[in-house]
Amino acid sequence: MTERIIQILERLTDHKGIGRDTDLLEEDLLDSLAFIELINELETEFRVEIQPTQVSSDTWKTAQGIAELVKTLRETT
Amino acid sequence: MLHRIIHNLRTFPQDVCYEWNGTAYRNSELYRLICRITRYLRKHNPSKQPVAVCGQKEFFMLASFLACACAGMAYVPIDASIPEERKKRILAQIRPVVTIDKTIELLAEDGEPLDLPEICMADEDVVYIIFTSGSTGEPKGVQITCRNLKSCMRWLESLCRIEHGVILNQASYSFDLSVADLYLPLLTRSSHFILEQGIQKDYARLFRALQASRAEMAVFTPSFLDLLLVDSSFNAELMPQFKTVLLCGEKLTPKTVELLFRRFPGIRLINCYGPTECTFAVTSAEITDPTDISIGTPKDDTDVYVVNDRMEALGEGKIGELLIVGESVGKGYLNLTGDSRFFQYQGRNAFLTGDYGYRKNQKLYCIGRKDTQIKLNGYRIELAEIENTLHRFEEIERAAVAAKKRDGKVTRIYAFVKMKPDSGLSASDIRAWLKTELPAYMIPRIQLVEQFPLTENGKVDTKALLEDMA
Repeated sequence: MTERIIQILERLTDHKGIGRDTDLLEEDLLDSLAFIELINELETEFRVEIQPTQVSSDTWKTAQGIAELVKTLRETT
Repeated sequence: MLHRIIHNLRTFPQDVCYEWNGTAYRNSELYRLICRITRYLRKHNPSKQPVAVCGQKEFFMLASFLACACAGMAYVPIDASIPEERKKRILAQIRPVVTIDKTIELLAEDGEPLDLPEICMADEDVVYIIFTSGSTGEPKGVQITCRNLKSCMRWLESLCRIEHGVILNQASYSFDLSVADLYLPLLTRSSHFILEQGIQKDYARLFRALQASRAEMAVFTPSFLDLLLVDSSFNAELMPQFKTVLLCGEKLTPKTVELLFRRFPGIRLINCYGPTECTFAVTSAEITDPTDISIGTPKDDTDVYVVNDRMEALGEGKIGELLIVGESVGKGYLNLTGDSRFFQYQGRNAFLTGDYGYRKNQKLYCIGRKDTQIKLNGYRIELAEIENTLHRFEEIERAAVAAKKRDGKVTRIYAFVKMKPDSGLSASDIRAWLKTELPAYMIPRIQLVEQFPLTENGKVDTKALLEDMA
């Protein structure tokens, strides 16, 4: 799943070479527009509902963190 | 307008006027601070040079703006988060005798009598100067007169119909989007609830603030509203009093409207349009149908014409440039007399916007820019300014800046850079340097290139460069 999320991130941010631990916030990759699109894509692709208010802001730092969030959401719904 | 504000502050000392970071300030405190700062300004700025006010939405900023107005001096809001270099460039243009920051609360002596001598601001005096991105690489100072501001607030008061409410603030005071929410509360005895800068990075905190605000009205950019709408708990349950939202600063999309109506049934959505040069905004439309997003009709004392290159007004359905004429047109740019975009049109002040649009069924529609000025997340940016800033960097041989769009909306800025031979610098080195020169919202994605593709006319083919990024 992390690989698929990396693909989505690379497309949304127009940035190649994102790794599992690349700091998306430090590198300013995940700006607000990409963030909105990311939530939409994750919700459609993985059939989960994401409420950013219920998620720690650190989650969005790495592809790994995002994958863990999606995994947890899938298990609980 | 200033008299009415001061009258309200004195007559209703117990009203809460400002809520910032968990503290509620009352009219009596605001009035006291205005008196102190006014006295300080009269003493230290007798030549009435424009006053720089640096901060991040603290209470002293509001008090300083009003004190400057009372003392007959223009204020220049400067966001404390901008790089030192940019701040220096702005200060070099205004050459202030007094620069106010948070130390003003210590500097401005307290003590009786707490009285404002007469208000010295005349209608034709400049009340504020707001700096916007300038294509030459230098920020441009837009001068707005007291008369412009009065006209704007008269219009907004009748448009927003709020009294004794809470108005939510989003924008930094260095953007004129904040002009509406700075003055409306003071005129309507409402409270001004401030969203701290950068709070959107922490959704949980942001939403707690939204709930705590009990806001009835807000002035947002569509991009900020989009960020809120991402979370389905942004709804009428979270903000039961929220009745009016005024959007301005960039293109509004049907998707945003649809989602907002679903979350807040019955909300009044007002879409506004206008450049900083024309005092916040000049047209408004109450949006009821997501498939028809116009910028509406002009305010009473201002006209908007769709014109061709010869400044002839075009008929319905014809696309041309939007020309704004009337009371909202500002005094021009600081230190730049004779800018060709400000002129007299049929005996009235006019500003040629550079925005393309047309009129249909009496309503105006805006469709894009004539030049390379763009809007990203509501921020107005001249791509040429970024390009010129890059060219100041010695190691750079050539740079071209372009914006990538989706559905007509800018999603990202790219700088394509060719380094001088043997420079050895990386894209992140350039980025780090740019961050010392330009505010964060203007920092592009840097792409190093060996060669620039050229168009048939010999210009850099930015379209081809952008396509390579896809």
